[in-house]
Amino acid sequence: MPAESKIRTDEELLAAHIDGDQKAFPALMERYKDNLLHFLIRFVGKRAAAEDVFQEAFLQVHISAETFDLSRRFKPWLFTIAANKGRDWHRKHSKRTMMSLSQDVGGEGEGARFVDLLEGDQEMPEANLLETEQANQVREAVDALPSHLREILLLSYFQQMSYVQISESLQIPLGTVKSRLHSAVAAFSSSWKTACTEEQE
Amino acid sequence: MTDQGDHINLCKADADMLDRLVSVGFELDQLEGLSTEEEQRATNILHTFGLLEMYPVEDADDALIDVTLARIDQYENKQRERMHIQTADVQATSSGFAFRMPDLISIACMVLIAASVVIWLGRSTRATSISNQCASNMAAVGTGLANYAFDHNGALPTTAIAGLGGLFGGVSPERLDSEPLLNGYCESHHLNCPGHEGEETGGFSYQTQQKEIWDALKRHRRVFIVLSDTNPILDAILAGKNHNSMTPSRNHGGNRQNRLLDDGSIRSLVGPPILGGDKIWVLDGGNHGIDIFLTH
Repeated sequence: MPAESKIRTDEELLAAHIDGDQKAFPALMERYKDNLLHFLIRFVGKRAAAEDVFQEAFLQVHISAETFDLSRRFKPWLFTIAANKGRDWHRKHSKRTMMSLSQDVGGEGEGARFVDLLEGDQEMPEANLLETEQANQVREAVDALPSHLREILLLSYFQQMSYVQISESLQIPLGTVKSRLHSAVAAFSSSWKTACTEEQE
Repeated sequence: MTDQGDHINLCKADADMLDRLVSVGFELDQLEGLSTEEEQRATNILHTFGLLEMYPVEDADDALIDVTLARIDQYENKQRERMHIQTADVQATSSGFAFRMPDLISIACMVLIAASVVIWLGRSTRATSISNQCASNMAAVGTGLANYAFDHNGALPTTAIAGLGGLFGGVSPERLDSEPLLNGYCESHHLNCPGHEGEETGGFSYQTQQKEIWDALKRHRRVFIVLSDTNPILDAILAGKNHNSMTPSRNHGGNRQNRLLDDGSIRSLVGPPILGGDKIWVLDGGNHGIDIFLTH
């Protein structure tokens, strides 16, 4: 029989860590190590950098643990911290000019290009490419996205965060979250289509 | 100027369907009353997201948690150092006006404590300063190596080392060679840890591998340690003494363990370093594919 019949929730583990339980924090990290590392690898694009950001994120969780409202859920908080750290990493390592985080994107003004996924002759992954090649092309397409679009794409799909949750986590208006996700999907789809077309040629 | 992607958007029908899918956690079954076209549109959107699953990711090493805990320890140690300084300040400024014998004894004790704290802090600060200087030298070596590699088609300078074959299955390994760096890539004092004991080695240990492992490290594009503070385990092995993988390097009094990675970054830890699950001081038989091992 397991010594502990009841599995502690994330919030209980964090509370135990605050109370000095030395096993609680490693248990919390163990619980999220793969999920969070996968998110960060996709977000920053490099495993070594993702591991670094992972460490910074959990260090921040440790530092801020006492300020966390234990009536809230731990997971969105953790991913918010990780996304912030990942964004810091992009800021330090990217020479590309980023848009202001408060600025809306993907406007319908001059120069905007629209993608209709129904109209597109989007290639199914199994159609032409070998698995490794597909994976590399997906990586290239994701890595080509600006970080502020990439984080919303990953948070919405892999963490299944709602628009409201993402808006609260990243502290940006709900409309901005929506338009960024729309732009992210359109840009990703466009990149993927280009990659498939080039492969066919 | 904006990034690629900022001027691309979904058509309204796709955007509306995406919003609906997000609201149901991408569970298509949760959307009722879809027309054939809407269903096809939703499927295409889900397919686009499904491609994201193919992004290559690997699970975390067990060591990631250890390294994170070590980083937290390092943070806590720094905090404690700061607390000591603040405590010393408070004690040093405490005083009274009516001097009685107990007060004098108390003051004498406080002076003694403050003096010992100041001496301890002086030593600690000096060790930290030396450690920082060591890390700064390593950074200069890292820049030199990057420039060398740039001038030599990505190759790092290595040289065959005799006498260590016993540790490498009878084959003499190749060690990162710092000598060529002196031809304009870094200064001689950069190849020296100011806090090491002994005049011969310069205080750094260099990555040492069989030739094919060097090639594999480049092929795998794995971030690896190029050089570090003196490897204490090698000293123990060569002296025939028992060794412990958690023994800190003797450089700068065991305060901080510095190492340079091949991407030019410097890591400084309180405890002996572990990278990708590899306790780098120890040639442990390769639980992690390629052993990271440093010799001097």
